[in-house]
Amino acid sequence: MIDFIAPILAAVITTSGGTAAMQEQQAISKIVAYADSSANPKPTLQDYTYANVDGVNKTNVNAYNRLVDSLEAADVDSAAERAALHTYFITINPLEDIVKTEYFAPFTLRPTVKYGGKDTLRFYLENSNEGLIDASVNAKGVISIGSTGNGSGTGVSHLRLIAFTGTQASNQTFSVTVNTMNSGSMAFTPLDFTVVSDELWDETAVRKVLYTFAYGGHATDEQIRTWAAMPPERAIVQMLTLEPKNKLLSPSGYNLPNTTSLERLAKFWNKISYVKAKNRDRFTTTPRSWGTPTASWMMAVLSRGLNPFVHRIGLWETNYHMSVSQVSGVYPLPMLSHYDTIMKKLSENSSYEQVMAQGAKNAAVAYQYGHNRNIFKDGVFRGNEDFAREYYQLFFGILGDYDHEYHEATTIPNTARALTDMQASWHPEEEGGPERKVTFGTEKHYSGDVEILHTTVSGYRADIKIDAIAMEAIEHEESLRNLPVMIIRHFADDSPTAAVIEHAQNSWAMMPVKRLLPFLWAYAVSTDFHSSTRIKYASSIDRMMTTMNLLTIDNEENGYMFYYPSWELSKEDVRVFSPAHAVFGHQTGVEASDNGNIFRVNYNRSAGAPWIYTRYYECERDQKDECRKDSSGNVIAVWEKRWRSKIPANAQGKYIVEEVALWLWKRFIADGGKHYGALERAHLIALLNGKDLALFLDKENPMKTYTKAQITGNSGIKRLLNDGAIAPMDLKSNDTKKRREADYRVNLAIAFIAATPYIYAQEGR
Amino acid sequence: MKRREFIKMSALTALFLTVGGSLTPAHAATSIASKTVVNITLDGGPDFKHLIVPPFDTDAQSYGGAYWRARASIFRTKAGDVTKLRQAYIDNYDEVTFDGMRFGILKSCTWLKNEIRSGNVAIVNNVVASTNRNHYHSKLIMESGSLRTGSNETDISGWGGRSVTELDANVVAVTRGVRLVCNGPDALRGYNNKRVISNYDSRNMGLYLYDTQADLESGSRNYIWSTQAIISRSLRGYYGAKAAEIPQNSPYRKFITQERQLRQFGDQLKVRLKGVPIPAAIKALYEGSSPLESPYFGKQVRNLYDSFATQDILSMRFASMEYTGWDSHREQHRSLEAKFGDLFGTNKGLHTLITALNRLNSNIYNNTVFVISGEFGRQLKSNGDYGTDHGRGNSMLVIGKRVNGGFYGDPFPAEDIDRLEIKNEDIVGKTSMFQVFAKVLDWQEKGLGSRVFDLNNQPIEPGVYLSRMLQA
Repeated sequence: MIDFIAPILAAVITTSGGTAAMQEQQAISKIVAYADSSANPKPTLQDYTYANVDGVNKTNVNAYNRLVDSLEAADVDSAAERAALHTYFITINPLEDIVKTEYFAPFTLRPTVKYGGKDTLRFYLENSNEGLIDASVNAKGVISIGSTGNGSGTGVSHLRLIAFTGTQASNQTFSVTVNTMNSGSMAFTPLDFTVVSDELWDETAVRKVLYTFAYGGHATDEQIRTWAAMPPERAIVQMLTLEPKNKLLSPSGYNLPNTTSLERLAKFWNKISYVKAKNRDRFTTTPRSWGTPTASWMMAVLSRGLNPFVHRIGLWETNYHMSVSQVSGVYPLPMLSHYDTIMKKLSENSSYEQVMAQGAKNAAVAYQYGHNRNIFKDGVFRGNEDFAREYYQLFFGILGDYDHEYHEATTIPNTARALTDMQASWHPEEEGGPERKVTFGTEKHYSGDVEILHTTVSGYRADIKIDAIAMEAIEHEESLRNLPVMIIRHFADDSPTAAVIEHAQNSWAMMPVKRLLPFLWAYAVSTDFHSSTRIKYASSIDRMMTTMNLLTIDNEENGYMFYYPSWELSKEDVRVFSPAHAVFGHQTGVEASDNGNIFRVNYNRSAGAPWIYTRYYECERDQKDECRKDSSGNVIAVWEKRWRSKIPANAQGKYIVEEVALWLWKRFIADGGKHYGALERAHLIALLNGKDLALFLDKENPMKTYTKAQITGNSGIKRLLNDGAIAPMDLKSNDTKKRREADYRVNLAIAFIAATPYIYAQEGR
Repeated sequence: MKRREFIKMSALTALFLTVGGSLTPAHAATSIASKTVVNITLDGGPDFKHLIVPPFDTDAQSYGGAYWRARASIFRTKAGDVTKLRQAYIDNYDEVTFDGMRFGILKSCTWLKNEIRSGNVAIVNNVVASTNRNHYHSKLIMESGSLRTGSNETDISGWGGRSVTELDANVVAVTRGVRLVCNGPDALRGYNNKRVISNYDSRNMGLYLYDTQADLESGSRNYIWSTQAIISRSLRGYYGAKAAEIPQNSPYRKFITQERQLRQFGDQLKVRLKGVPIPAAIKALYEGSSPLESPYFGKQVRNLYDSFATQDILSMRFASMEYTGWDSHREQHRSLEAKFGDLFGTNKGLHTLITALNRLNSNIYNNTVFVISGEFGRQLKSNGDYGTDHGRGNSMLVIGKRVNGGFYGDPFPAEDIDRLEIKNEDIVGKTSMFQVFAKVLDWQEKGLGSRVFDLNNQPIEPGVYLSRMLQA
């Protein structure tokens, strides 16, 4: 998997010889390999011992593994770096780190960073379990310790920022002693939403949640029934999680890397055998691998064994909320870093302001807006105010309505000053391409305090100020009003009612620490989400990803990339990571629904070029690139679509047209059959019998249109349809030809469903 | 459309094109050219103050002197370097005197310069729509044509959609998406798109239907087993029957409307356009090595050309175009010169379009007005990144044969001289953009502007007479 293991092992064999040395080198190789990819075996406590990494014990070995997993192989391939692991782990970086406490409290942190003058140092101390924290700071000259937003630094019930101010002129070291941090569990709370009743929480409701938040998910029918039988507040915490993998939502026998990182996943798919050789080049990670972010993201969504919800969130964050664009010159590797760092923050269950602050600190955002060139020099600010404005507007939903004159004259210009000395430079490919991380300097940074949003923030570097601004902005009245509405509008409701807006705003406001996941949990099982008045039109991306996801049976198909939606989306002029409105985000569902051209493309995909839906085998090819056939004249397939692995047989073990038709409708439309009327039934019955309705009913009149009245009122037609409805399907036949014909007919039906009006929107009930 | 019908229509078009020799494709296409508004939205806050500038002046107290000093960084020059500032003006602008005004116009915009000299361009200055500097909200206000539009209010009609409703005609959107300006009014749902024709791919409009009739006539059995035949017949039959089933107020109704529209117009356009080849000059705008920075705009030019060629079929009275990327916070000169050049350069977007339309039918340009505007302007003083940050007031252009060209509103007001040096100051909006739009609509039909816009309390700069802007 990584090419530097071999030289290391070779060195061991030639120079070490001894068993202990061999064990050490093997352990090192294991740690290095794990840093390269979490698909490799996890290092054990013994490995860390052999590798001379201090401080690892059986209690915290998993935490160390997480730390190694978060690093790159190059970060742990030297003795010094491995020795630093311990230091790294117990040293707080006051600029950005969150200290996880479940392994160490009580403990003392001794940051390497010094403070002096009147600096206010700010850092996050977070207990991911929302427990109580009791901490104190020990440093000379400390005159205050406190938190922003929620009580004091000691004894706060929610983990927040700790800030303290020193008065010494000279640099001082300091330490933070964490006395206790109580653990608790991340529990569901309805917030200001009303949880839908158990009666309404049924299989359809579960499917609607999966449809909305996970492109339909990959859960089995049985799992969906299980969730439907559970109380919604219990089910939802299983359905929507931010871990890289969710075995209930996406079961699989495949061993995929335990990561949300698109770059790591790309490296995996670039080498793994189930991705066919011709497709692996889509996953290269060079500075000019322009297609890789899209290919990796799509594969991540479609892959069984990961977590499609996580990557649905990833699309929102990077293509809508904190949107940057490859068209605007954001190169692939900074783009991947943008995605990966945001998703890492989310998967760590960080507060939403930390997630947004992370986005703001990313090189991709700096390239997009150009503030990587903002400097403060000789008392003069040089740069632009673009991101200084959009950080508030697009990330937090603060438009300046609170006081336009003040916002324009004070908050934005001062924020522009705060965003100085954020260095990220473009380099040619041979030099590694554009830098992927911002280097936060002090020399050209405006180091003074800045007034924003009628408050003052401090920090001697831009990243500190970005964090501090985030802390203020997240609690700002406009953000409290707009951000939750932005979220529910994006995911689920194009026109929320005043009551829904109020519930969302109140829910967001009452979260002492704003986090995306608990908010979405509460909303997804609310009466507001499951209301018949809710309507959400699908964007091109949502429609295509959901349809292709539900069309996919297993990762074998993914390896062939049959349903790779990028090409199809390009016909609708939509490209992931190149948002239609640049920083203002990608095409919305409403925009897609109002666009007759998009309807045309999607309709013609089914009617004129339906192969993406109807393909049901991949053949073995001869030297002339023609499909080989067996002695019976059947094409020899190296892969076949077998719908019987998904479609349930009835109690008699049979597949009947009527039952298959309804199952397909529910799977692809997720309306519980609400819109499965006489017309839909008739057309699907015909297609599952291998014909279109006109031909099925009267072979002499293939151009005839049949109205609902004719279908339901004409006894001859009714009889023909009922005969067709009870026809068996050969989905499990041993006869290859019959079985393939049955699978093909299922695909025909899907091609039809994918062009009906109901594929373009979701209702709440 | 059945094959026989198609053949019949093709024959009729061919007849149009040949009999008597008097009817060219153009005549066939646009013999009834109606007064049409083409609205071009420039997204991002276009700096028209970069397009048309005061001549450089050594007197720092004059507008020309103050302007060039305030904007020196855009040209990578220091404010005090008079020699370089003068050179920047000479290098980048052609000087024009028109309507009693001496000014510079970007050298990349020679077609526009000529149109100005020909009196076909109204340059309306100090216009404003939005009262804030927020792109998104400002666009909503501008396209809806109402200051009451909220910052997240998207379920609303646009002034273009309202105008065609009054005219009982259609909007044609030649853009990727359908902009809000196209939305028609709807008391129940806030807006509807019944009168919006999305014509982004004008040569491929229409829905696929397998030619079953041909098989029946030839004796082929393909129509029985062909996957395309089966699905395309299924969908045609399904939508045909479904149209009567889905209520008018259903959220799914819009897809029925789109299907019917595409089926209705697709075949007719195909037949008509078969006799109207795409002019090579237009094709060059979006194919291969396009001379445009935005081949997308070139494609819109093609779509609009085709829309005019089929105007009678489409009942087009309002067309919507767009050009994005005007948010010039950095490297303004380089980026805007190319964009303005795409729009206004010789043999570029509008020049190529209008030349081709004149060949199609000289009546078209006589009956068409192009309105070009953005959601807000830029600050007067440049920033430290060779660009300009968001402002409010701006200029806009109205172009057409029926336009009484000239300046409407002072482009270089003396009261701004002192403000040019102050960061964060912007153009004072004195004329409501809605007043300008309304006058254009009044040209289409008397009184239309006041039916589409609420013009109460919408200002017009003293001394500006917009009613003179267009001839009947």
